[in-house]
Amino acid sequence: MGLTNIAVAAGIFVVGVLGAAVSRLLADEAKAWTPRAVKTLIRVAVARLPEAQRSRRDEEWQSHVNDTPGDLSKLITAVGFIIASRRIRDFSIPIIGIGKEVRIRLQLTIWLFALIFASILVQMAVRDKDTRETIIIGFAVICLLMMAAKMTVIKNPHADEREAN
Amino acid sequence: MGNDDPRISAQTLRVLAALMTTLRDELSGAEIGREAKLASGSLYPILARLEDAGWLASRWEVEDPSALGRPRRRYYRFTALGATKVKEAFRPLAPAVWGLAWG
Repeated sequence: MGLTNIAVAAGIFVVGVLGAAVSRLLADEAKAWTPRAVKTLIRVAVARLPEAQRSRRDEEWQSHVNDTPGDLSKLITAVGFIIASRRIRDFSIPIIGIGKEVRIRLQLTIWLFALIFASILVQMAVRDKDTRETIIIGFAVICLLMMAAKMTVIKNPHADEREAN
Repeated sequence: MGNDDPRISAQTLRVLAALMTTLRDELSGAEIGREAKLASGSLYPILARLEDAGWLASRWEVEDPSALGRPRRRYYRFTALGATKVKEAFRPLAPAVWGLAWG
């Protein structure tokens, strides 16, 4: 009984020592990888921005991380840049002349038309095998509708103007 | 520049307050984030909106980054339009603080 207790205690001690060593190694590893991870996150964030803003934000955000103490805080800050880049991108490319809500409704309407048209084409193809030309023309129309939906997003000219300074 | 006025959310007010209450004319993004207690994901979209609306202007640190040994900071400050607009934004909220901050 006494020997068993000693063995269990020895086992716990060994596991504890090994655990501490491994966690130390992991911490060192994480510390060594943090700068690279931060750079990668900033690169990913910057790549999502309009081209005119990339150079500025890259340097600015690296400077921000540089001024942030602590590896974990640096990582959290860098992850935040991903969120920031998405928001800045969304804000930098509004449709000119109409608001975001109208743009979304317009896109939904166009997509709905495309969907209805596609389902009609599928029905025609199932019923009648000799409608190949109609189907080709129909899909071309759907492609045009999709392009129209895409074109409702027009780059804001102020985005370039702002970054030129 | 000088587009429509940005939406004044609580977070935007914190950014404006950080710039208003600083003893310096301008602050870097990291400093504004610390003062306003805002994460980077919220801070930079707000700064971009305020800059786009013409309320804020920004400039690079003039020193050479190689001499500094770090990336240059980007400093933000109020424009004349921004100073006027921020007065309007804060007037109904905190008249007492207002007097202290702007004299």
